[in-house]
Amino acid sequence: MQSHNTLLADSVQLAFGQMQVLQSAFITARTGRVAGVLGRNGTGKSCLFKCIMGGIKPQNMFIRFNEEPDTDYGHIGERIKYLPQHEFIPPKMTLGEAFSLYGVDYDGLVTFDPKFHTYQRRMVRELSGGEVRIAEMYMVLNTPAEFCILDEPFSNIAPKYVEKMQDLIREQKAAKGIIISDHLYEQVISVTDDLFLLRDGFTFPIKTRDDLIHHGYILR
Amino acid sequence: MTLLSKIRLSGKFGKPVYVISALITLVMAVLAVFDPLLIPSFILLKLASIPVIFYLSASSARKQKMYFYINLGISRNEYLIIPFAVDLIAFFLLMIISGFIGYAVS
Repeated sequence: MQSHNTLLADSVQLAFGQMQVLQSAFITARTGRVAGVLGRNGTGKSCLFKCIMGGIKPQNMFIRFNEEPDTDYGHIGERIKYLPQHEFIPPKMTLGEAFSLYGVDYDGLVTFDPKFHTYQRRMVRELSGGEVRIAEMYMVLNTPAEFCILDEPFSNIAPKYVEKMQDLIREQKAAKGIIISDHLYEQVISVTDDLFLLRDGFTFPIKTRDDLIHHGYILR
Repeated sequence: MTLLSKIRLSGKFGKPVYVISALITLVMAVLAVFDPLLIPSFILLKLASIPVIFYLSASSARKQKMYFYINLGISRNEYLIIPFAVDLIAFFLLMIISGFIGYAVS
Protein backbone atom coordinates (compact mmCIF):
# COMPACT_ATOMS: atom_id res chain seq x y z
CA MET A 1 0.00 0.00 0.00
CA GLN A 2 1.60 3.27 -1.06
CA SER A 3 1.45 6.29 1.20
CA HIS A 4 -0.52 8.45 -1.22
CA ASN A 5 -3.42 6.82 -2.99
CA THR A 6 -5.89 8.11 -5.51
CA LEU A 7 -9.31 6.77 -6.34
CA LEU A 8 -11.25 7.70 -9.42
CA ALA A 9 -14.77 6.54 -10.20
CA ASP A 10 -15.84 7.93 -13.54
CA SER A 11 -18.59 7.65 -16.16
CA VAL A 12 -20.97 6.10 -13.67
CA GLN A 13 -24.25 5.41 -15.38
CA LEU A 14 -27.16 3.94 -13.48
CA ALA A 15 -30.81 3.50 -14.37
CA PHE A 16 -33.68 1.67 -12.72
CA GLY A 17 -35.93 0.79 -15.61
CA GLN A 18 -36.83 4.04 -17.36
CA MET A 19 -35.55 6.18 -14.49
CA GLN A 20 -32.05 7.46 -15.17
CA VAL A 21 -30.39 8.11 -11.78
CA LEU A 22 -26.79 8.71 -12.80
CA GLN A 23 -25.86 9.68 -16.33
CA SER A 24 -22.15 10.36 -16.19
CA ALA A 25 -21.21 10.91 -12.57
CA PHE A 26 -17.68 10.94 -11.27
CA ILE A 27 -15.94 11.25 -7.92
CA THR A 28 -12.31 11.35 -7.05
CA ALA A 29 -10.47 11.11 -3.73
CA ARG A 30 -6.91 11.00 -2.57
CA THR A 31 -4.97 10.53 0.62
CA GLY A 32 -4.83 13.64 2.74
CA ARG A 33 -7.98 15.19 1.28
CA VAL A 34 -11.67 15.01 2.05
CA ALA A 35 -14.06 15.10 -0.89
CA GLY A 36 -17.60 16.24 -0.17
CA VAL A 37 -20.61 15.24 -2.24
CA LEU A 38 -23.72 17.35 -2.00
CA GLY A 39 -27.01 16.96 -3.78
CA ARG A 40 -30.71 17.15 -3.21
CA ASN A 41 -32.69 14.07 -2.14
CA GLY A 42 -32.91 11.47 -4.86
CA THR A 43 -30.03 12.77 -6.94
CA GLY A 44 -28.14 9.49 -6.59
CA LYS A 45 -25.46 10.18 -3.98
CA SER A 46 -26.04 6.92 -2.11
CA CYS A 47 -26.45 5.04 -5.39
CA LEU A 48 -23.08 6.34 -6.54
CA PHE A 49 -21.43 5.05 -3.36
CA LYS A 50 -23.22 1.70 -3.59
CA CYS A 51 -22.06 1.34 -7.20
CA ILE A 52 -18.47 1.93 -6.11
CA MET A 53 -18.81 -0.66 -3.34
CA GLY A 54 -20.35 -3.23 -5.65
CA GLY A 55 -23.72 -3.36 -3.90
CA ILE A 56 -25.51 -2.08 -7.01
CA LYS A 57 -24.48 -3.00 -10.50
CA PRO A 58 -24.42 0.12 -12.71
CA GLN A 59 -24.87 0.06 -16.48
CA ASN A 60 -21.42 1.59 -16.81
CA MET A 61 -18.62 2.53 -14.44
CA PHE A 62 -14.90 3.04 -14.60
CA ILE A 63 -12.90 2.74 -11.37
CA ARG A 64 -9.19 3.14 -11.00
CA PHE A 65 -6.91 3.03 -7.97
CA ASN A 66 -3.69 4.97 -8.45
CA GLU A 67 -2.30 3.92 -11.81
CA GLU A 68 -2.97 0.21 -11.33
CA PRO A 69 -3.68 -1.57 -14.60
CA ASP A 70 -5.83 -4.25 -12.96
CA THR A 71 -7.50 -4.20 -9.59
CA ASP A 72 -9.64 -6.80 -7.84
CA TYR A 73 -12.85 -4.77 -7.87
CA GLY A 74 -14.86 -7.77 -6.64
CA HIS A 75 -13.32 -7.37 -3.20
CA ILE A 76 -13.19 -3.59 -3.09
CA GLY A 77 -14.09 -3.60 0.60
CA GLU A 78 -10.51 -4.53 1.40
CA ARG A 79 -9.47 -1.08 0.16
CA ILE A 80 -12.51 1.12 0.74
CA LYS A 81 -14.60 1.14 3.90
CA TYR A 82 -18.15 2.32 3.48
CA LEU A 83 -20.52 3.75 6.06
CA PRO A 84 -24.01 3.39 4.57
CA GLN A 85 -26.86 5.74 5.29
CA HIS A 86 -28.63 3.24 7.58
CA GLU A 87 -27.36 1.11 10.46
CA PHE A 88 -25.28 -1.66 9.01
CA ILE A 89 -23.86 -3.63 11.93
CA PRO A 90 -26.06 -6.75 12.29
CA PRO A 91 -28.49 -6.12 15.19
CA LYS A 92 -27.61 -9.30 17.05
CA MET A 93 -23.87 -8.67 16.91
CA THR A 94 -22.10 -7.09 19.90
CA LEU A 95 -20.13 -3.90 19.43
CA GLY A 96 -16.99 -5.67 20.64
CA GLU A 97 -17.41 -8.39 18.03
CA ALA A 98 -17.94 -5.86 15.22
CA PHE A 99 -14.85 -3.91 16.24
CA SER A 100 -12.84 -7.11 16.45
CA LEU A 101 -13.88 -8.17 12.92
CA TYR A 102 -12.89 -4.74 11.58
CA GLY A 103 -9.58 -4.82 13.46
CA VAL A 104 -10.32 -1.67 15.45
CA ASP A 105 -9.34 -1.28 19.10
CA TYR A 106 -12.53 -0.88 21.14
CA ASP A 107 -10.68 1.09 23.84
CA GLY A 108 -10.26 3.86 21.28
CA LEU A 109 -14.04 4.28 21.17
CA VAL A 110 -14.14 4.44 24.97
CA THR A 111 -11.48 7.16 24.87
CA PHE A 112 -13.49 8.95 22.17
CA ASP A 113 -16.60 8.77 24.33
CA PRO A 114 -16.49 7.18 27.82
CA LYS A 115 -20.20 6.31 27.68
CA PHE A 116 -19.27 3.31 25.50
CA HIS A 117 -17.30 1.86 28.42
CA THR A 118 -20.01 -0.64 29.29
CA TYR A 119 -21.31 -1.27 25.77
CA GLN A 120 -18.69 -3.67 24.46
CA ARG A 121 -20.77 -6.80 25.13
CA ARG A 122 -24.07 -5.25 24.22
CA MET A 123 -25.84 -6.19 21.04
CA VAL A 124 -26.35 -3.40 18.55
CA ARG A 125 -30.14 -3.70 18.82
CA GLU A 126 -29.87 -2.77 22.52
CA LEU A 127 -28.34 0.63 21.72
CA SER A 128 -30.02 3.81 20.51
CA GLY A 129 -29.83 4.78 16.84
CA GLY A 130 -27.49 7.67 17.63
CA GLU A 131 -25.15 5.51 19.70
CA VAL A 132 -24.96 2.92 16.93
CA ARG A 133 -24.24 5.67 14.40
CA ILE A 134 -21.36 7.05 16.48
CA ALA A 135 -19.87 3.58 17.01
CA GLU A 136 -20.23 2.68 13.31
CA MET A 137 -18.64 5.90 12.15
CA TYR A 138 -15.77 5.61 14.59
CA MET A 139 -15.22 2.01 13.51
CA VAL A 140 -15.25 2.77 9.77
CA LEU A 141 -12.96 5.78 10.11
CA ASN A 142 -10.44 3.88 12.20
CA THR A 143 -10.33 0.70 10.14
CA PRO A 144 -7.08 0.36 8.22
CA ALA A 145 -8.03 1.17 4.61
CA GLU A 146 -6.96 3.39 1.76
CA PHE A 147 -10.31 5.16 1.49
CA CYS A 148 -13.47 5.78 3.48
CA ILE A 149 -16.89 6.66 2.13
CA LEU A 150 -19.27 8.19 4.66
CA ASP A 151 -22.91 8.46 3.63
CA GLU A 152 -24.82 10.87 5.87
CA PRO A 153 -22.58 10.35 8.90
CA PHE A 154 -24.05 13.28 10.84
CA SER A 155 -27.64 12.08 10.64
CA ASN A 156 -29.30 11.44 14.01
CA ILE A 157 -26.37 12.49 16.15
CA ALA A 158 -26.12 15.38 18.59
CA PRO A 159 -24.20 18.55 17.60
CA LYS A 160 -21.47 17.74 20.12
CA TYR A 161 -20.77 14.47 18.33
CA VAL A 162 -20.92 16.13 14.92
CA GLU A 163 -18.04 18.34 16.04
CA LYS A 164 -16.13 15.39 17.48
CA MET A 165 -16.64 13.45 14.25
CA GLN A 166 -15.43 16.41 12.22
CA ASP A 167 -12.23 16.41 14.29
CA LEU A 168 -11.88 12.67 13.76
CA ILE A 169 -12.27 13.11 9.98
CA ARG A 170 -9.58 15.82 9.96
CA GLU A 171 -7.32 13.52 11.97
CA GLN A 172 -7.91 10.43 9.81
CA LYS A 173 -7.49 12.15 6.45
CA ALA A 174 -3.73 12.17 6.99
CA ALA A 175 -3.71 8.43 6.37
CA LYS A 176 -6.57 7.94 3.92
CA GLY A 177 -8.77 9.57 1.33
CA ILE A 178 -12.27 10.33 2.58
CA ILE A 179 -15.49 10.91 0.68
CA ILE A 180 -18.39 12.36 2.64
CA SER A 181 -21.99 13.19 1.87
CA ASP A 182 -24.59 14.73 4.15
CA HIS A 183 -27.47 17.18 4.04
CA LEU A 184 -25.83 19.21 6.84
CA TYR A 185 -23.90 20.96 4.09
CA GLU A 186 -22.20 23.56 6.26
CA GLN A 187 -20.74 20.83 8.45
CA VAL A 188 -19.65 18.98 5.31
CA ILE A 189 -18.09 22.09 3.75
CA SER A 190 -16.10 22.80 6.91
CA VAL A 191 -14.24 19.47 6.66
CA THR A 192 -13.88 19.12 2.90
CA ASP A 193 -11.00 20.07 0.66
CA ASP A 194 -12.82 19.32 -2.59
CA LEU A 195 -16.53 19.73 -3.08
CA PHE A 196 -18.82 18.21 -5.69
CA LEU A 197 -22.52 18.51 -6.40
CA LEU A 198 -24.65 15.80 -7.96
CA ARG A 199 -27.47 17.10 -10.12
CA ASP A 200 -29.45 15.53 -12.94
CA GLY A 201 -27.11 12.54 -12.96
CA PHE A 202 -23.93 14.58 -13.43
CA THR A 203 -21.19 15.73 -11.05
CA PHE A 204 -20.30 19.40 -10.86
CA PRO A 205 -17.21 20.69 -9.03
CA ILE A 206 -18.10 23.40 -6.53
CA LYS A 207 -15.71 26.24 -5.79
CA THR A 208 -17.82 28.85 -4.05
CA ARG A 209 -21.11 29.18 -2.24
CA ASP A 210 -22.47 30.98 -5.31
CA ASP A 211 -22.02 27.75 -7.26
CA LEU A 212 -24.41 26.03 -4.83
CA ILE A 213 -26.96 28.81 -5.35
CA HIS A 214 -26.46 28.65 -9.11
CA HIS A 215 -27.17 24.90 -9.11
CA GLY A 216 -30.26 25.41 -6.97
CA TYR A 217 -28.94 23.49 -3.99
CA ILE A 218 -29.42 26.38 -1.56
CA LEU A 219 -31.49 29.54 -1.82
CA ARG A 220 -29.00 32.08 -0.47
CA MET B 1 -9.64 -12.97 3.42
CA THR B 2 -9.39 -16.70 2.72
CA LEU B 3 -12.26 -18.84 1.48
CA LEU B 4 -12.27 -20.66 4.83
CA SER B 5 -12.65 -17.35 6.70
CA LYS B 6 -15.49 -16.39 4.39
CA ILE B 7 -17.25 -19.70 4.99
CA ARG B 8 -16.79 -19.25 8.75
CA LEU B 9 -18.18 -15.71 8.51
CA SER B 10 -21.12 -16.98 6.46
CA GLY B 11 -22.31 -18.54 9.74
CA LYS B 12 -23.22 -14.98 10.69
CA PHE B 13 -24.55 -13.45 7.50
CA GLY B 14 -26.12 -16.67 6.21
CA LYS B 15 -27.83 -17.67 9.44
CA PRO B 16 -31.42 -17.30 8.09
CA VAL B 17 -30.53 -19.49 5.11
CA TYR B 18 -28.80 -22.08 7.26
CA VAL B 19 -31.62 -22.28 9.79
CA ILE B 20 -34.41 -22.71 7.22
CA SER B 21 -32.38 -25.11 5.09
CA ALA B 22 -31.16 -27.14 8.06
CA LEU B 23 -34.74 -27.86 9.09
CA ILE B 24 -35.68 -29.04 5.58
CA THR B 25 -32.47 -31.06 5.24
CA LEU B 26 -32.86 -32.78 8.60
CA VAL B 27 -36.44 -33.86 7.87
CA MET B 28 -35.35 -35.24 4.49
CA ALA B 29 -32.32 -37.02 6.00
CA VAL B 30 -34.50 -38.78 8.58
CA LEU B 31 -37.03 -39.83 5.94
CA ALA B 32 -34.21 -40.99 3.65
CA VAL B 33 -32.98 -43.38 6.35
CA PHE B 34 -36.41 -45.08 6.36
CA ASP B 35 -36.85 -45.04 2.59
CA PRO B 36 -33.64 -44.43 0.57
CA LEU B 37 -35.64 -44.61 -2.68
CA LEU B 38 -36.99 -41.15 -1.83
CA ILE B 39 -33.53 -39.55 -2.15
CA PRO B 40 -33.85 -38.52 -5.86
CA SER B 41 -37.15 -36.81 -5.06
CA PHE B 42 -35.54 -35.04 -2.09
CA ILE B 43 -32.73 -33.79 -4.30
CA LEU B 44 -35.26 -32.32 -6.73
CA LEU B 45 -37.23 -30.82 -3.85
CA LYS B 46 -34.10 -29.33 -2.36
CA LEU B 47 -33.07 -27.76 -5.67
CA ALA B 48 -36.59 -26.39 -6.08
CA SER B 49 -36.52 -24.88 -2.57
CA ILE B 50 -33.36 -22.84 -3.26
CA PRO B 51 -35.06 -20.00 -5.22
CA VAL B 52 -37.78 -19.76 -2.56
CA ILE B 53 -35.30 -19.52 0.33
CA PHE B 54 -33.17 -17.12 -1.73
CA TYR B 55 -36.18 -14.86 -2.25
CA LEU B 56 -37.13 -14.98 1.43
CA SER B 57 -33.60 -14.32 2.66
CA ALA B 58 -32.84 -11.51 0.21
CA SER B 59 -34.94 -9.06 2.20
CA SER B 60 -34.08 -5.38 2.30
CA ALA B 61 -32.87 -5.74 5.90
CA ARG B 62 -30.33 -8.32 4.82
CA LYS B 63 -29.21 -6.07 1.94
CA GLN B 64 -28.46 -3.25 4.38
CA LYS B 65 -26.24 -5.55 6.41
CA MET B 66 -24.45 -6.63 3.23
CA TYR B 67 -22.16 -3.61 3.41
CA PHE B 68 -20.89 -4.70 6.82
CA TYR B 69 -19.48 -7.80 5.13
CA ILE B 70 -18.48 -6.08 1.86
CA ASN B 71 -16.23 -3.87 4.01
CA LEU B 72 -14.54 -7.04 5.24
CA GLY B 73 -13.62 -8.02 1.70
CA ILE B 74 -16.55 -10.24 0.78
CA SER B 75 -18.03 -9.55 -2.63
CA ARG B 76 -21.77 -9.15 -3.22
CA ASN B 77 -21.90 -12.46 -5.09
CA GLU B 78 -20.05 -14.29 -2.31
CA TYR B 79 -22.44 -12.78 0.22
CA LEU B 80 -25.41 -14.14 -1.70
CA ILE B 81 -24.00 -17.47 -2.87
CA ILE B 82 -21.74 -18.87 -0.10
CA PRO B 83 -24.55 -19.85 2.33
CA PHE B 84 -26.41 -21.70 -0.45
CA ALA B 85 -23.28 -23.45 -1.68
CA VAL B 86 -22.29 -24.58 1.82
CA ASP B 87 -25.85 -25.68 2.56
CA LEU B 88 -26.06 -27.65 -0.69
CA ILE B 89 -22.78 -29.45 -0.01
CA ALA B 90 -23.97 -30.31 3.51
CA PHE B 91 -27.26 -31.55 2.08
CA PHE B 92 -25.59 -33.90 -0.42
CA LEU B 93 -23.24 -35.25 2.26
CA LEU B 94 -26.15 -35.89 4.58
CA MET B 95 -28.14 -37.58 1.82
CA ILE B 96 -25.20 -39.89 1.02
CA ILE B 97 -24.85 -40.80 4.70
CA SER B 98 -28.63 -41.30 5.10
CA GLY B 99 -28.68 -43.42 1.94
CA PHE B 100 -25.92 -45.66 3.23
CA ILE B 101 -27.59 -46.07 6.61
CA GLY B 102 -30.99 -46.65 4.97
CA TYR B 103 -29.72 -49.35 2.60
CA ALA B 104 -27.70 -50.98 5.41
CA VAL B 105 -30.77 -51.14 7.64
CA SER B 106 -33.10 -52.39 4.89
